[in-house]
Amino acid sequence: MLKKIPALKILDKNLKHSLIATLCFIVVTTCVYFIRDLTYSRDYILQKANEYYSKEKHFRAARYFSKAIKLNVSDAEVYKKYGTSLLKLGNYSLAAKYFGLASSIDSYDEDAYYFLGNALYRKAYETGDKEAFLQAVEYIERAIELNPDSEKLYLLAGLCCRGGEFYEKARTFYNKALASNKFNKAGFYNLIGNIFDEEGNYKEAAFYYGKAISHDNSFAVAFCNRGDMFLKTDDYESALQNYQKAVEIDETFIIAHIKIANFYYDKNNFSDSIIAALKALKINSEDNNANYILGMSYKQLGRYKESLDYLKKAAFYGNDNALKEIKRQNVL
Amino acid sequence: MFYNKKYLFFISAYLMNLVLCFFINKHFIFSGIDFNLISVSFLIYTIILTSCFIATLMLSYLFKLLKFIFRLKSGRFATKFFWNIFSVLVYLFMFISFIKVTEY
Repeated sequence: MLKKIPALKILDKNLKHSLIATLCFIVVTTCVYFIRDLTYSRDYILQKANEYYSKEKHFRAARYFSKAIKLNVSDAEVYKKYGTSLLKLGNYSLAAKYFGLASSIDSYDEDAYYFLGNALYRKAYETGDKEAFLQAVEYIERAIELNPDSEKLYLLAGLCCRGGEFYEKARTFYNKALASNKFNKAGFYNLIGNIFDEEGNYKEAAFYYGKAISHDNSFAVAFCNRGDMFLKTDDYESALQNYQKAVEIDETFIIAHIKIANFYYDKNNFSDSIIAALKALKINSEDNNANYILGMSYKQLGRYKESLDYLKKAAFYGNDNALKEIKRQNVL
Repeated sequence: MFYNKKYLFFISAYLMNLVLCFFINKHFIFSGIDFNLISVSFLIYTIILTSCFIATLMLSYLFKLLKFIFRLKSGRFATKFFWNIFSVLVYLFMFISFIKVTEY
């Protein structure tokens, strides 16, 4: 019968058989694909998706949720879980789409709005799109309307506003959180301080860090931040006092040790800088900044071998300045 | 397969490989990675052909060894035999990969 097909008459026997075999292969593979696809049940796919989701295997979970949605599952919870998996995988646009769908099904679900805002914030952070930051804020505001007692909502709203450089709006969110008297006041004052710092208003920032400290005098981060502000306003003594206070409160607070080391280095007090950097390295020997300051301090004291060792370590842990310094010394 | 016109085999295998890569790409879209289909398909194609070639070489040596052990006459169509094994292995590789990639 095949001989009757005119096109096949011009083909040699081997080619004819090869073509038939290839066609059969394609047909069989396609049939296997479609027949198997028909046999998948929604329950099985959903069960597997939830299983992977609970084990935090988000790549597989996303694959199964996607299949479940193709099998006409349109449940807000499934959309939310799918969106969460996508968020963990870094696909923010698709995550936002599914959180959007979840919020359109259940418009009173503050979690859906929170996650939608979160996905949009991360997307905006990647692209640097200011409008996208505002869009994220809109959804978080809706979530706050639904649940004004959730601290994470104010924190995210503030982050979004700061990302888009809408500082006044960010302060408004933090002040709202403070006004509710339900959250850690010191934390929110510290955040307001951060905003003033980002704006370059260091005195105001120091004032708010001070407020944070007055609400919680064991808040090492606020002391450290206030130290930074004093340093920026050339009040060196107060800066050092604040850093030292931060270390007093929390000896394992590595940033404060590094700041002290940096402070002494800038003041050409290299032996004290070495002491502070060594303390930082006791907490974390892989800290690139501590290694860099230590390397540079040794260099200033003429101890080149030790200097090189620490600069190499700093470069290894990702300090670009250390790498430049090593290159400058032509030892690489 | 396609012993007389080998280029046809390579073209058809590449087209099948392209379909396979399309399904692989669908997985990576979850992670927000949308890779260049053509370049990745060439990479996967090379991997498939190389691994099948090595597998065919091993099989042909195995057959030679068996022939030597059982003192069989050596065949006249060694090249054709080699090609047939190779092409079947490539198709088999494609089939198994496709089934695995599209499996839930």
